[in-house]
Amino acid sequence: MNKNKILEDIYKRYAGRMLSICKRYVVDENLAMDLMQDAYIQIYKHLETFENRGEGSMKAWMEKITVNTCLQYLRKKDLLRNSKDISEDNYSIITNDNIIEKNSISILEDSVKAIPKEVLMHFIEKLPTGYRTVFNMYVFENMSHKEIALRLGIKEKSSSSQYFRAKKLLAKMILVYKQHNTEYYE
Amino acid sequence: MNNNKQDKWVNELKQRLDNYSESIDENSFVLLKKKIDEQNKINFSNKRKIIFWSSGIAAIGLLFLFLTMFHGFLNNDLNIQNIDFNRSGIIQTRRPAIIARINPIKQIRDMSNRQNRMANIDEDIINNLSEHSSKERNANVKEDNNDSPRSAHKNIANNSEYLQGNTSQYIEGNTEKIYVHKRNYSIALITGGGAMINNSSNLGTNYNEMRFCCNMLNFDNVLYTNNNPVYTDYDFDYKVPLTFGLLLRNNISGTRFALESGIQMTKMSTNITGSENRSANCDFIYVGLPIRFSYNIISKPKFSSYISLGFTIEKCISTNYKGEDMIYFTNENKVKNMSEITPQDMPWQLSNTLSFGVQGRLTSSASIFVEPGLIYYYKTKDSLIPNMRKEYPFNMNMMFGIRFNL
Repeated sequence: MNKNKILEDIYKRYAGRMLSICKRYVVDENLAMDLMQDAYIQIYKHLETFENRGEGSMKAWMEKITVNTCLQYLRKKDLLRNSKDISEDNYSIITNDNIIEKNSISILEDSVKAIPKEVLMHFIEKLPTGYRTVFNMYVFENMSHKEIALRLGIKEKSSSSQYFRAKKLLAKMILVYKQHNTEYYE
Repeated sequence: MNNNKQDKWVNELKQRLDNYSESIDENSFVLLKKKIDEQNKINFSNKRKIIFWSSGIAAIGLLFLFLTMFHGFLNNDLNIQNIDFNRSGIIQTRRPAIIARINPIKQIRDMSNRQNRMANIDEDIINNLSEHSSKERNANVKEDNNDSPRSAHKNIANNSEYLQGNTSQYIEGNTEKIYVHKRNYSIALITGGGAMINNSSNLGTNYNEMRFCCNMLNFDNVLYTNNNPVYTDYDFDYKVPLTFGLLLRNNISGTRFALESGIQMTKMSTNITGSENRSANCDFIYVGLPIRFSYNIISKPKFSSYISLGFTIEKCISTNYKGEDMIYFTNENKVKNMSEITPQDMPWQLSNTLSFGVQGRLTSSASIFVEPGLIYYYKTKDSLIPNMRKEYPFNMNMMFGIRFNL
């Protein structure tokens, strides 16, 4: 089969998925599109080296390349270090209210099920770059904090604290959204 | 799965977004295709550049070869060309000297008589030459300032005339070949470094140039293959490999060919930079056995040139990793540390060389030479740390050194 034909085929099949991965790492839509195309160029270049290991292996391989492309971009632009994370004070103001309580954790699960995917994606995009990157790597790429720390050049503790904060901010956004849209759910 | 029980809602979030996909504009594939075509064009022009340069060099080499072969063919009846004299008056030459006077009428002779006579002639010539040149030297002891080019030239000229006189005395009217004493072996101390033809390309950036490599290549090491380690977020900065060697050269009797072999050591150094300015340095030391065939193109008393073709087999004998621990992820997402590398992890390396050498004589027994050339490194199995030879298998190098006649 022609390499170009394969590219066209996998583009049609997986481009949307790859774009969503890029958008999880970089907020800007045009930039996400560029990164996705860069990832496809790498896929095209290394297409011969791909070994089919069963169903889903192509998709997994492509996702890995896309994630690497995004991480490489973030590292090159030094966005992880230069991102303006939420200051300690602001973070406390945002999270230390009565919305997030212990019993709200069970509510969260139901809320996540009900909230549209686009909105959930929007919440992730809203996170500061550092939080978002760690959250994505930990949750979606199944990396340990040790691996994240090594790959991003940060301390393991920093990775876990950023993940914790990202989670808390997300929880808050979900709960606020639920409060304002109760009627919608019911 | 990393998430614990408390993060059920996070798991739910992951499941929901795992197969989420954005809508894609249909024209976006056209843009991608354009980008790929542009890159292909750049890569093609790069390859074309390499082919152009290597064919150019090869063509020049071949031209030299044919010209000198043609020149040598025309001068086969030369009398004392290529005979060289050192200070003591002993004849030395890189190829057999042909001393002849052609007289077709007397060409047919009794073979056994001729052989006996030629043996005597050979001895007489050398004895006479030695006597003659020592007398000459004694007479001109003040004038002969040994290294003065004028006196050296005079010495050669005198010896040449004398040789002509003697040879015509003995073998006038015959076509004969007299093989005189020559030095067949020489030993060379060589050193030098590699140059690099860099044609790597990277995300959004293309590096398309031919240059000597003593600077950072900014090679972003995204090796997305299923069998190889997956390096991410590291810059590998390859330094110029340095080579030192000791080579023994044997001029094959009766031909312009020479065989050269010996031992060489090469030091390769790689700087690895990770994110957050983490850095490390890894040195490899290789021991190699080069075997080369040379063809002497030009052979003058003070100057000679040759082309060499050969191969080298090398093995890493030492690795030295300094700096912070760097890891990479295998395809199975296992973490491995680059500092664990040992010489056993580095594969045997085979390479081919094609070089053009220029040699200038310093004294009667020592010469200096320069050998620019091309090297092709064969593919090897993957090592823990990517090396320059794997990334840039086609390279240029520049060797130079000193050669002593034995």
